[in-house]
Amino acid sequence: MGMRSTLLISFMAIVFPATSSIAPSSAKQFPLFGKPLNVFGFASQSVQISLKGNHYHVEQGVQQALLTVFGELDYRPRHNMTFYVSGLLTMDLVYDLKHDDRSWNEKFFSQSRSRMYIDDRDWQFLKECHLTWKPGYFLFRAGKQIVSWGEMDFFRIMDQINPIDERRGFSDVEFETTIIPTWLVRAEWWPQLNLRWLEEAGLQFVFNPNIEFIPNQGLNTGNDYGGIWSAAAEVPNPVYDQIGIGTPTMYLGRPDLNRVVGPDNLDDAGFEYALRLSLMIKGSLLTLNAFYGLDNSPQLLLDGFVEDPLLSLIAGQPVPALGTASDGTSIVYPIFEGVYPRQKFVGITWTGNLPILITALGGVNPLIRTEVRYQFDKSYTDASQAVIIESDFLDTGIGLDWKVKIPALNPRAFFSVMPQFFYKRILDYPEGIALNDHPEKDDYAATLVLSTSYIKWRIVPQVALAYLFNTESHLIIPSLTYLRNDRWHYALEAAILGGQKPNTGLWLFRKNDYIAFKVKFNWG
Amino acid sequence: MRRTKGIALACLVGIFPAWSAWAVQPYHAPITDILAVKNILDDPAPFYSNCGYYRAFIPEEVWNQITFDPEESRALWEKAVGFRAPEVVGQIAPEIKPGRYTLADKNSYPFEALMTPYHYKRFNPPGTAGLPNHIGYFTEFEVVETRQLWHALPVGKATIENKGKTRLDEEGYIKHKTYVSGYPFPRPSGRHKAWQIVYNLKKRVSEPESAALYDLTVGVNGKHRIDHIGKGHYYWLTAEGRVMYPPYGWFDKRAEVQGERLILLYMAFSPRDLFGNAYYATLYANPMKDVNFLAYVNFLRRIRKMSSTDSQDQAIGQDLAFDDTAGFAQPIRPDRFPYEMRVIEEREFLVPAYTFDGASYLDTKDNWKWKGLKFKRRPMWVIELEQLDKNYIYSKRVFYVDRETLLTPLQEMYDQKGRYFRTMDAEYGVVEPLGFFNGFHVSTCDWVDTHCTWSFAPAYPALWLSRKDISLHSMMMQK
Repeated sequence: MGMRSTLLISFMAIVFPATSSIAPSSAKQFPLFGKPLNVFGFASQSVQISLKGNHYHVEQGVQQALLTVFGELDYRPRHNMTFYVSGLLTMDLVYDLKHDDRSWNEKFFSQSRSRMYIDDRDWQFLKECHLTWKPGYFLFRAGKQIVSWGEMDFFRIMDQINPIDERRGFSDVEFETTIIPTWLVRAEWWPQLNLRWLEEAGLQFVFNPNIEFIPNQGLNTGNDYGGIWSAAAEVPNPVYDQIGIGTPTMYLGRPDLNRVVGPDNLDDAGFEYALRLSLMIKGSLLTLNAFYGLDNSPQLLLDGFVEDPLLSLIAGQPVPALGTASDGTSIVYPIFEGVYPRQKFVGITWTGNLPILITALGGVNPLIRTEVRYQFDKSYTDASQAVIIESDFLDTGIGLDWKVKIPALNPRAFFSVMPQFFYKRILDYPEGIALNDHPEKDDYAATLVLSTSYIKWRIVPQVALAYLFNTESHLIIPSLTYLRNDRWHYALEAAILGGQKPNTGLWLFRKNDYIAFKVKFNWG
Repeated sequence: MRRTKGIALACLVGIFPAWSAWAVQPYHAPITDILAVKNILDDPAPFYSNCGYYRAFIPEEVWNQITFDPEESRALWEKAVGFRAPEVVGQIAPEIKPGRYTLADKNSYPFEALMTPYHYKRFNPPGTAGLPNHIGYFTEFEVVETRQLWHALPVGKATIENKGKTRLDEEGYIKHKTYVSGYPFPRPSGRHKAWQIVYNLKKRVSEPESAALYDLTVGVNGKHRIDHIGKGHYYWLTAEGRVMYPPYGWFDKRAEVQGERLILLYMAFSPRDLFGNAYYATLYANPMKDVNFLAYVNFLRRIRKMSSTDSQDQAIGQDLAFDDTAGFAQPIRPDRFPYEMRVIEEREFLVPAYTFDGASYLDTKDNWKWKGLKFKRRPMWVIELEQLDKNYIYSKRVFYVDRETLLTPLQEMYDQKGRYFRTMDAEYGVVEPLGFFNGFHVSTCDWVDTHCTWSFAPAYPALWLSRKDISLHSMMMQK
């Protein structure tokens, strides 16, 4: 762990107990040059235990122990001006706990330490840092920030501006660790038009000057790279078929991504432009969106495998070097090249009340949320990741927010019911070729979140479900949160993942079922 | 030509003061400044006295625009309601005179006959006599002389000028387009008397028409442990029938076009998980037009539209639902959770006095008792609102309404099983130089699941508030 990490942890260790000892009524607000400075933060520690037992891609017992420490400052030098900065420390303490564990080392999880132990890059420590100025009907925000478009949850349709960090799995993470703020300039104008049919109108322009190119931090293959959340892909081993080396199937190990090229910092090839028109019409919200920039994920072409020099010499052709997993299965190490392709899209979102109200169910109108995004010339590869193919792409979602009263189950509070349905279509799907990750032209998915609360929001049970129709994959996340008070929160959560089609969707994480317990302390 | 120029000049001279009043530079005391004058708990400091009725936070040039002659106000309000409170009280239990009383006196005087049943129960140590272990009980108080109370001069003027204009239909529902300004029914009477009293609550809220409010709340469970501390500030804009501060009448063209009645913007500072959240609600003059409710959810960084009818669920950490806020936010509609309303009593009660100094407080070290309370006799109506739809959270509401101020210091709610469910007990502050009443301390309690929320909610006129301060883009200031 570097000096910087040590200093940051030392700082947190001093600030955290000092601020937590301040009485609740003397809030974490301080005068700074006569103006209020608000200080907040939280610390959480979770422990995740595998439910699937001993398998190469998971670790028996504790497999993740995330420590998250977050701090934020908010300063208002003027009534219409805010300066906000936040910092984050994320560490997976399982790398310390299992440092000498035989299984942990044999499965090569220890080798993912450099990527997964501590998030120690500058842009990971400094989350947001921006100045907001709101003169009149304008709003300007410059700095490292999040601009979040769209209406849907779970899967992002319009919400493409900021990259995301998915390295640590699907749910046992804080929101603050998921969306990655980037350096943006944002300007908005909200003119007062005073039309009977139009209550508010706003125009937003976002410019990304590519000060620091940060792509999506995705899930990947290889225990030695992705850690406990590496995708458990298992493919036929051609070397075994041809010359009898290795095992009939092989795992995909650490990918070589050194040839995946993004734009240099400040290179105008990385500039991005986004425009959004927001309209509030008779209480509903409509947005029209346009984006021109780069995809936050690269398009990868397979450029071979790490070669075994001796076997390649003997064979007179490239022969992949095969590692051996702790269960005896061969491991191959792919090499990729790739670029971050151009992303151009337009889209619409709309949300509004449905005029349906059933008093017997509590008298709450359902709310509809929809998104439609049309992307031009989206890049794909074929199944073997040999060529790039472009096609226009339609990405849609529709969701419902509803609350119902079921007195027999909860006489005090409502149940929140939030189903969503997603439909995607690759409009120019090539004839006779299957696309990687998209074997079919049309793709369907559905999600559902059910929750309620007991004892005045102190106990919150929730179930989140997702089903990917094309890959017949499922994700079920039941959780129970106890909010002891505003400061202390405790959560018990499980996840059940799986799929029916090998090497697709959540089949890749079929062994990652877990149960987790988290403690969170808020201060401020 | 000269005449035209003269008219133009006169217009400019006339408009300029209005513009000056309108183009007021923002002034807003941070929460720490408010808490420095008086803390939420354990602080007997007289808030109003110490900040000069908010004068410490308001620029002098604005102060001069928002004060009203008290004698003129008093006289006009007496004319509006037709009486003075001191003249109509003193008949019940006359032996209870001004002076200090403690629990030892409880059985020596007929307090049960003079207090509301709620306050009589509260006149106890907590958790005794079979009562829940709430906060806000009191074991001593001072009875003071009943004073005449009044609203600011322009409110009185508008009430008198527009008396009789607001109409109700045959069933008691308001014909909203007939309302102009002021209190629509200063002397409720007739078949729909209870409805008239309720519409007074709906049409005039106690806080100033352009207000900066503070919502400083503490949630306390039955073990007297704090489980919630909420800090936030509101902007609150009366959009219809404005009489106290410019713009008068409709707040602006948009308010008129859209028929807006009240616009709220609440920005959360605490608890930490809610920091950065902002809630925006527009209530409309037409009760058949649903509330427009939006939330800026900080962890999504998005504005989310909320269902306009999601108003019965309990607010996080608190003991009320959205329908209970702003006095009585629930829309009165014939087609959705309708009520039958009736006046069940009209008499004097001994209730917490309107405070002129803001000195009362909760003493957390002495069983969370409410101390520094003064009581006075007030002429009141007791109105029962019987809910006709068995699916609503409440089977009935009971309001204790002050006949002179037309405000509701006490509300009681019963659940569908007929149980005493929730109460809202407000100690109103009299911001005397500025002519308005402030829900200064509000205690809301849950009598089924023992829990209370204590609010310290000062509010002062924010003349600088304009549409740009209460709109979608202002929700995104914090995060």
